[in-house]
Amino acid sequence: MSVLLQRVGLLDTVAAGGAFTPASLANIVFWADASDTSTLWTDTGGTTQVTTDGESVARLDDKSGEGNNVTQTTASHRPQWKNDGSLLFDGVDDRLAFANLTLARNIGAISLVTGYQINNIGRAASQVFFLASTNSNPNVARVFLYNSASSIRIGGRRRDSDSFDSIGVAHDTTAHTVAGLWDIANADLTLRVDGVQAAQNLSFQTAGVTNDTDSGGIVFGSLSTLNETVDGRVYQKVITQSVLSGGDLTDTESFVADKLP
Amino acid sequence: MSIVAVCSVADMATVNTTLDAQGFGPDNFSVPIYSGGARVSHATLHCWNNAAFLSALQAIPEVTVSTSETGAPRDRVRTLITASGLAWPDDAPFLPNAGQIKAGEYYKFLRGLEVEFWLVIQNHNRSSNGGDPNQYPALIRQARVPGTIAPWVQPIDQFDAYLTLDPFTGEGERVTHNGSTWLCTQGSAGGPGGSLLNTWVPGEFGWTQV
Repeated sequence: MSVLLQRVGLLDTVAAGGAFTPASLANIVFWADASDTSTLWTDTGGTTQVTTDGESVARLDDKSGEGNNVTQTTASHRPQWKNDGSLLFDGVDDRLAFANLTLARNIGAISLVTGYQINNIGRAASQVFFLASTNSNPNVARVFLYNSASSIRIGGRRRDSDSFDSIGVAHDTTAHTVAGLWDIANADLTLRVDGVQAAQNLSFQTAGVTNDTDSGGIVFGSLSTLNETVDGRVYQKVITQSVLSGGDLTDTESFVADKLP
Repeated sequence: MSIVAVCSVADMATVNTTLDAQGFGPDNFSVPIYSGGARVSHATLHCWNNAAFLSALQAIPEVTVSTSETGAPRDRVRTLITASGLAWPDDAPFLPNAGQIKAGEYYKFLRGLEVEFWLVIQNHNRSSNGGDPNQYPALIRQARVPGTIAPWVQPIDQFDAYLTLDPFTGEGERVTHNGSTWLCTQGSAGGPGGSLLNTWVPGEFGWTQV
């Protein structure tokens, strides 16, 4: 992964930035770091730290400083921690939930950078890595990153459930860094894979006629139980309430890429 | 070690409540499973290593448990579901555009980016009855997926009438119609688990706009 980023000149940015971490990003609202066991717990109360490969994770602490921890109170829905610095989701019913439903509330921009690996690209189903739903329809995504029909895609729908737009590219079962940039105010939807722009829609819908309520639910993994469960690993996940660009974007992509196997 | 288990929809609420009361959280059984009909009949789960949870499951007679170590979690679920004579929607193939399909088979159908789940109710040939399955209500019908809010479709009979109480979700079924979302609240007697059956158009009878 690092070799690829060196080819496109991204590692220079990291070197110039010294000890860059996503926590330094402006407008960051969430950072999951599955390589840091001090942020992973076997209970939702955060009293017993994950220490051993294979333990189930009930809570992951947000490292953005915004306190957007994700939890799972239900035993069968908890992902498993792996000592390669990842959370392994079973592709059946695993997911983590955000308590802060304002995370993607009627904002003009959002960015998501994640390091992930999918076990089964032939599966005819979305595998949702991040999803923000609406109050009126729990199964309508506003912004999400998912795998469907052997492509990694990002998409969005207006809060009034008008038409849905998405873009995507083919991918494989190896680990990748993916960045989704939703510049809703400027109708720009951009997908980057391993530090390179892979797809763009410059006529992406704007915020439209939105209501002003919080999201109905925001999840790390599937929201519903059919067709959307992740069968694979998540290494890192960074979310900002802004469109990442320039050094902020490339530094974040490089940071995530360096956490991949 | 990981755990796969299945129980019937009729037992699901009680089983989930029992597990919740023992500290394992709500809604452990949450994945819909079918057994030849258009409605969910069972629910399944997969859980990573958890000896206490396994003991709790094994103590509930209505639950079938497997701790087979063969394959990945999805493989283990598939094995248990198949051995129980059930169908997992996630495993269904896409509806072909040609060839014979048989009554009782389940298929996926991709509408835009949304995956729908369909049940064949009469043998037919997709070479002559191809395209959108909505064109052939006597041959194939869309299976209900608990908790989803799909556009309202005129029910054909009691087997696809809308429910005032879906035993899987514990709530009335919801649909979209004429730009609004509707909750099924009234109907005729005869549904599963004491639910009422509604075949009326939203706005006409038995639906509340939400």
